[in-house]
Amino acid sequence: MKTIAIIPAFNEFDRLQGVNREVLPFVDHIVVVDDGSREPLREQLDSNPAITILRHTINLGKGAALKTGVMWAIDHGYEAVVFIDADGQHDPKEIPSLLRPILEQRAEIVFGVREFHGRMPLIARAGNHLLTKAMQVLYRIQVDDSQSGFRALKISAFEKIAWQSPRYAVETEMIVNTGKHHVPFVQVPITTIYHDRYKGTTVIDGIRIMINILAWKIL
Amino acid sequence: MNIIQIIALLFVLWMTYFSFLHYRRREFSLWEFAFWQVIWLGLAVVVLFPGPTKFVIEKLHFTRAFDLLTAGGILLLFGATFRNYVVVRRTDKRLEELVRKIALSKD
Repeated sequence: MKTIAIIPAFNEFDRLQGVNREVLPFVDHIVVVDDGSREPLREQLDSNPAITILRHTINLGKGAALKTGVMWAIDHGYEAVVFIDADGQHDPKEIPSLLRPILEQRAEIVFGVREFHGRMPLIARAGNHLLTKAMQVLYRIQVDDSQSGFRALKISAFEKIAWQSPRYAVETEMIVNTGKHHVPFVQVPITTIYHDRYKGTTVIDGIRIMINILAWKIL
Repeated sequence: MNIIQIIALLFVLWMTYFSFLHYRRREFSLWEFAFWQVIWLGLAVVVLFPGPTKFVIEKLHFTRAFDLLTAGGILLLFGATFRNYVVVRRTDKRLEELVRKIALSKD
């Protein structure tokens, strides 16, 4: 199965090079989607035929960047994708465990589930818990981490999972669509590496995601 | 003329000037300019001669012309908000598709 990693990146100059280097042994190709960074990432990264850099001329958001990456993967005949963040908070060594359920045909989408511990701010933990619970109750889908960005997807399932959210609600919408279309899924525990201050979903993002969760149910 | 009428007339003059400004900058077509002029002129007529609106006010169980204007204004605002929402969503979507197309074509 041809595999590809999609890395959405916005002004992530410091760690991306290292992330690419660590991810490459586990996939056939990497697509970095530069989501309108101040300085084009193409100029910051070493050229490598196994790494493609696509650039959004303006910042559209993580959801739009992931979609651009998937479109590229479809055009080039890849069969499974791994979504991984550019800031180095995911451990690339866990990519095989994310891809395994897809390769073994046990799942079409695999969600990485973080362990919530003290390094994540209390407000972020509480917000994640609230969003996850709301999603579980409203959509009857047992995914224990609604905001983790470390995931794997079988390309053939993309049509069912396809999201509209251009920004951070993409993580939640993927799960909602998984539930709506009864896409077989598996959860895999992942570790989270905290390099510096917490850079995940903000309180405002959380409120927006909650509004989306409710809106998707009604509309 | 009471204070509300004076404020309303100043508002009408202000908006007339703005409509003209947009027309002069070619941001409005002649038809768009005419449409907004009719709206502002209508508002001025209702403000200056509220008498003929009495029939409508009684029919709709309002007590004053001003209440009718307020209710009408709120309805218009809801309409304009909805229209803006639709236009912004459509523009966002088209922008996203365009940016993606450029990104994929430059690969």
